[in-house]
Amino acid sequence: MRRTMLTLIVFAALSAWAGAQGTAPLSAEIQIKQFQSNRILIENLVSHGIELSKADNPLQRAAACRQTARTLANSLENAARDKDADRVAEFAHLYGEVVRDGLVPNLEAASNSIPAGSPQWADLQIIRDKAKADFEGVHSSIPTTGKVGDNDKVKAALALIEGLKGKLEK
Amino acid sequence: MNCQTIQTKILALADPRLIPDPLREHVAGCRACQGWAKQAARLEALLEQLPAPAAPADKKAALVGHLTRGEPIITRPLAIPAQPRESRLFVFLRENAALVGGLAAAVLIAVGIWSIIPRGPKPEMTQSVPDDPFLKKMVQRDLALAKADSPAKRLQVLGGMAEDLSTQARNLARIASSEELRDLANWYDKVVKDAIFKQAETLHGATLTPSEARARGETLGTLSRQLGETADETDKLLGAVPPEAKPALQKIADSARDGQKKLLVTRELSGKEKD
Repeated sequence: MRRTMLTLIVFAALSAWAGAQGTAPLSAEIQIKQFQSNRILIENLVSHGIELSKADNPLQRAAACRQTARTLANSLENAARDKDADRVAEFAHLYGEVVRDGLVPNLEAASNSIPAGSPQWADLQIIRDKAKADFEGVHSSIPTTGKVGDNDKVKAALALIEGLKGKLEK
Repeated sequence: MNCQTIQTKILALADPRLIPDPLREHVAGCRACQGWAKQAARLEALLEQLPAPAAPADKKAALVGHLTRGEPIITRPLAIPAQPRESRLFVFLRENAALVGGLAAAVLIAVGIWSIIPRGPKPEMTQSVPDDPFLKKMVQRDLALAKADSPAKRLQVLGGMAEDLSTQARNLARIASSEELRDLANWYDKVVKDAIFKQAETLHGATLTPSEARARGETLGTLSRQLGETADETDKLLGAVPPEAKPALQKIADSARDGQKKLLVTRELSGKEKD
């Protein structure tokens, strides 16, 4: 009886120790899997980065940011279709950051610098309308129930997205 | 009449030693009932020898009638009276306590081992997958470019992006396929030639104040050194990676050296312009 108790205690201690180990660096196996999963997305991000480096005014930067956001939105929608909660949360966070820190500031800067009624103003409205449509699509594609919707990371990501509502308006 | 009925009737007799004819016929041909009758007769005889006065015949008949009301209470000849018994499971557990305890401990140990050994993901209990840090870096580089409002700032960000790509290629050189590494090498080359060179040329033609020109010189110098270091580190790795990884790494090293040379030339030309 005493031996059984001792064995159980040792196992309990081992389990606690294993659980207490902090976040380890990603293994090579995980790194390559992540790279394989995100390869096309990264290729697009590199291309958008190059486009952004060539953009020399807020309107062009807003257009390039909207492309970056669209690329992430596509990946998010695919992850939602696959019911992959971790990736839905990851892409939603990245999309939210691009909208909040890249797209919205450049749209605002463009609005402040482009005269209303000019051809550039029309271009700005087109970019804004597309960005709003993308945003609505992203918002509705994030599940709020079920395995994905009940995930804490997804809930946090959805809160970030909802916090951006209205930021794309004029 | 069956044996059970006969034996009940024998028990009901005032004196079982005097079996009436209707019963006697059956008892004569049935060993079980003969045994029963003998036992009943012996019991009667023994009862008579007791010092207590014999019970009146009608009292005994009343008692027997009470006992035999409804279903016969005696179902088997000479049955042992039922005792309250422990369940068979309890008896088994008590008699094999050591064995059962050992088995329980073994099951607990097996469950413990099962719970700590890593297993493949299950559909309903998939382990949480960490976010991809490389993907996050690329998004952050794009965001930094979206905020960069001068060629010098863009050059810095692009230098960081190129560094991220070459580092990723070196990290994955031993495990990625040649196609995956080739992609990384192509993206690196694109960043260096399509973006860094372009920004450097923009700097080259710009009209700058002396402090801007000095900053431009420092930016170009820093970036060319960085590209040189990338080329050196990638060259060093060439001898330690699988043969199929070498072409991609070689391309990164070549792109980095070309970039380094081009930036140095741009810097010199800019310096001459300034003079």
